[in-house]
Amino acid sequence: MSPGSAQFGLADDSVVVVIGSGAGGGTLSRRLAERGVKVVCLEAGPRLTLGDIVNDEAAMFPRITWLDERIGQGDAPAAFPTWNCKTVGGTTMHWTAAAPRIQPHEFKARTTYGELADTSLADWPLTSADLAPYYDQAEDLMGVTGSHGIPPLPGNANYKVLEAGARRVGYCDVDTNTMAINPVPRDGRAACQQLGFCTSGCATGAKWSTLYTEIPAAERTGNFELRPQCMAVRILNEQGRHVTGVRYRDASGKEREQKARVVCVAGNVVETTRLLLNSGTTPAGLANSSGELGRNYMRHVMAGVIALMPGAVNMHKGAQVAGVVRDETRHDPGRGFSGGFLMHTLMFTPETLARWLLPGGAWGEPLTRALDRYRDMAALLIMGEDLPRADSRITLHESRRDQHGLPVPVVTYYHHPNSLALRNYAVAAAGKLYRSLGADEIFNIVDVFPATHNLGTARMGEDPRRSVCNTWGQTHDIGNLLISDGSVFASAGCENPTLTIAALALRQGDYLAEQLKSGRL
Amino acid sequence: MFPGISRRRVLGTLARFLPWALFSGSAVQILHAAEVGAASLPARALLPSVLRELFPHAGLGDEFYAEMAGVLWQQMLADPVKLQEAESGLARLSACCGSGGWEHAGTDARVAALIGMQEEMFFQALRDSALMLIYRDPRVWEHIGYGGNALAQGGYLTRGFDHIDWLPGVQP
Repeated sequence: MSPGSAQFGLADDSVVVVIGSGAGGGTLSRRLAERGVKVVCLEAGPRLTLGDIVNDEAAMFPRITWLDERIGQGDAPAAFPTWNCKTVGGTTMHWTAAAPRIQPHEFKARTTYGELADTSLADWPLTSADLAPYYDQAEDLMGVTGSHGIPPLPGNANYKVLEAGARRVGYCDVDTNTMAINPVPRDGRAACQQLGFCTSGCATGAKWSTLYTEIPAAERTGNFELRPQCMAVRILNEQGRHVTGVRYRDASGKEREQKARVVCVAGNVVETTRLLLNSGTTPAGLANSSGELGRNYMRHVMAGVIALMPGAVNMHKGAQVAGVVRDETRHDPGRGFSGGFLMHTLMFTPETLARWLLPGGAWGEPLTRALDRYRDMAALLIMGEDLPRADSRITLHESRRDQHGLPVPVVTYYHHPNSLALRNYAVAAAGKLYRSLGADEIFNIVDVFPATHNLGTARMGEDPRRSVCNTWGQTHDIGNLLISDGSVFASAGCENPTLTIAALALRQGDYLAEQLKSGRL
Repeated sequence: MFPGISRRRVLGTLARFLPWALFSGSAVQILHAAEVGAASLPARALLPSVLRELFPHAGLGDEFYAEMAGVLWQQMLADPVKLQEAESGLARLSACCGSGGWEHAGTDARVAALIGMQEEMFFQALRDSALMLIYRDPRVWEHIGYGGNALAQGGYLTRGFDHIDWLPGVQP
């Protein structure tokens, strides 16, 4: 516990309980605490310090990753369908810190893309303009390059290849990305040293993570108590009409119940959905009169493209995704699909490439011949809009139980044909980009990535029959139960979601503080 | 990104992602430090050259593959089921190489034998655990050009993160 941190009693029913301490929960907690609201934050994972973060992927992966059992079905990887974190800071420990805004037309995805088969695509109940002031605040809070006078990050060699190739094939909207990584010291955090281990936790703190930004700031208000290693197991409620608290297991495994005036759930989509499904008086779960809870699960269309270039690149050196091409983010059905995609730089480690560079568990000389040219590799990640399907969903396993006795979550995901069309186009475009600079071999990594972006299973909307939450993330069914993570996304856009999650959390925090102050909640 | 994960509960369900070599990075280091056993079983003797056929890097010497084989064998010794699977799998592999066995087969025959077994659980488990061991080894990183941890040196900011000398129109 840090100096200034508050402590609240289990029976204190005046507190807001926030479940999760990442981009949604951590950001919301600070905003509420700064508005004078008393907050208890339950976080399933432990609290690390900057000193615990080492530049060693194999060491950090088991330390920060959510490794409790999850089962993937359909087109989701079976044993590890999603890649999130269980640690204070949540997935802001693992994120690459790319922080783009969702484009205005993407908030109106259903209207813009029109009638498409086999998708439950919807418009958001808010516009880009509604969210703009909060995007601005989130960018300031997170220190996003290109906003608030923050200079861009310098581009590494992998970026220089991306940029040169992009310009050769006629792209114009290319730069070192909008990044929540300090190019210069700011807000008590150091400048980026181009370590290249962004996804294993940033050892210098140059990358925004709620672990060392929002959480300590919330503690300094005196209105906030973080309880790490506390796993929420049930939201307590009165016949599904009103929530009264949260049952959780503390670090010792003991069950406790924290009373609450309001509960905000920000457990990253799989856990948020599981908790709601598991907290009802019926199998439909809590706040699910619409039947939409758990449905419309979206990821992003992802594919890695690795090129063997004519000379050394050393892609591993530097901030991983500080390089982007935005020309293909527009909606242009003439390309054969709806929605758009980003191309941004990425690095892959030798182990990852050995596993995935060639499909189907390859080995032998075809693999090692490519790996021997690791120095010459340039790489990018394609990230495209994924369309929601009612049958892509999170459910509870009928019989399997985890170490807490909770039903194991089942993640069922199916590619929409639009996603596959987008992917095929994007992979070809990326290959053309690298070939324009003389790449002699291109490898595409598809269909193996676990989902790092999880969205949509408690989506917001105006119609309570077709959505779980209203525009504030407040569930239609239960006024004092709110959703504060990517579950509320009505559509995915093609952008990394963290900035939007944080902006929505700030907006929700202002709304909730006002509701509490006025006595409406 | 994407280090392998290892959890016993899914053993056998997805060898590609979750190999049976159930260890973390720190365990690897312990195993590295462990004395390489001198078991003289035929299966054990095949392992270094099998690893070289699986992941042949001309820049890595025989002693490297022998050391990796020793570490893997230590893992197998700790688990009778693994050991038995490995012994029988390697014996079958050798038998696929003709009358002279693996030891006297040329590269083409060895590769053909491995291809013949590559759909087997034994093969996939061996490949995956060897992969994790080999491609987490700093000597392999150095050979192929992955720099790894540069934190103590101040990061790649001062170590060539933006250096490129062949790109048309870009000054090195």
